[in-house]
Amino acid sequence: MKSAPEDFENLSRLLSLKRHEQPPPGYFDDFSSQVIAGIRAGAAEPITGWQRLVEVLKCRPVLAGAYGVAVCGLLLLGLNLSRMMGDRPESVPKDWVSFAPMMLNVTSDWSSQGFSQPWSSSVAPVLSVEPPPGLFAGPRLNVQRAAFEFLGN
Amino acid sequence: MIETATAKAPAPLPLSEVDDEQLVSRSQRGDLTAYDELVRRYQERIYATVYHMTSNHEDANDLAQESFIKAFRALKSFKGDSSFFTWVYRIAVNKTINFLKQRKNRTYLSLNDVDVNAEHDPDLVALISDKTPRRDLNLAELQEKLNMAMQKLSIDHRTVVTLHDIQGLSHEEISKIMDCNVGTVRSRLFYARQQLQAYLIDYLK
Repeated sequence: MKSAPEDFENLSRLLSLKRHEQPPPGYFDDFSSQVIAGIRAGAAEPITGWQRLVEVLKCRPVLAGAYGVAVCGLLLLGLNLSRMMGDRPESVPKDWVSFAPMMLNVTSDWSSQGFSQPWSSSVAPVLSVEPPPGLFAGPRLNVQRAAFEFLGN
Repeated sequence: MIETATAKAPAPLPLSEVDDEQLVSRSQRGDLTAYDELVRRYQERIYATVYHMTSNHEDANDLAQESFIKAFRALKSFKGDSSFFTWVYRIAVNKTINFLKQRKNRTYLSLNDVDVNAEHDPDLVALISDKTPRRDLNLAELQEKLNMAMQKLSIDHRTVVTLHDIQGLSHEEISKIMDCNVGTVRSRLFYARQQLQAYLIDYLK
């Protein structure tokens, strides 16, 4: 059994075969001109801001990570803010209360001028003082107590 | 008087004699003839590195060209902390590693021909001798087996073997190119060689 360094020596010899693998003759003659043509073609195409950002982030993985964290942070902040705004219950009713007297005045003006209410408002039940009739409330009937007199008493 | 002044001015050096630093400086100012000279200086080594990592001529052609184009676009950010050679090597190696990671395990060999000098290479003559178990193999078959074994290595191991055993770069240069310490380079080289040896045991003495 040969020692490892000797085996590596033979391996190095075998790997020297790779150095003899050559591209087709004349391949490098116009290689640099193709590169220059590629540079000129690239210069003709305008680079968008997004492409520039991607190139910068590719070269700097730490910056890419920081950018990702910043975007996620902003997203979470936005979500939290929107949730906090949604949880404030007094915001909508306050507006309704401030509008309610104005609506009542309008309707009273119409009635004082002898007009009947010209429209049926959907907010009337909300603004009316009397409680709305329930759906399952029974009809109000005048009921008299029945008097029974037993014969013979 | 004007003629005297013109005669005293030193003639500009041909580009082939200008050092890398000056060519880089001129390229940074947009001089494409200077960059053309830089490409000519390193095109063979960059192409060969990418070729040995991919074992595919077409891929190597595309990646090598794209590496030089990318290097030119990024040239303004090159501060000269390392040599241009190391810097452009790093771009090419990283680009090839990204390409291989995207390609994953799909390997398409498209090998270049072995040149005529291979038959007279003393290393190969010494290796392919009567004692070689598979000496019936010709060079083309041996080349294919070797490339298949290379493609079985992990990308990092293949890169280290390519840069050190084929391209002849030092451990220190490889550590700069691969952005890791010298110990990691040595360790990767050792394990890569061990694996290659296991794959190619029939073709070694």
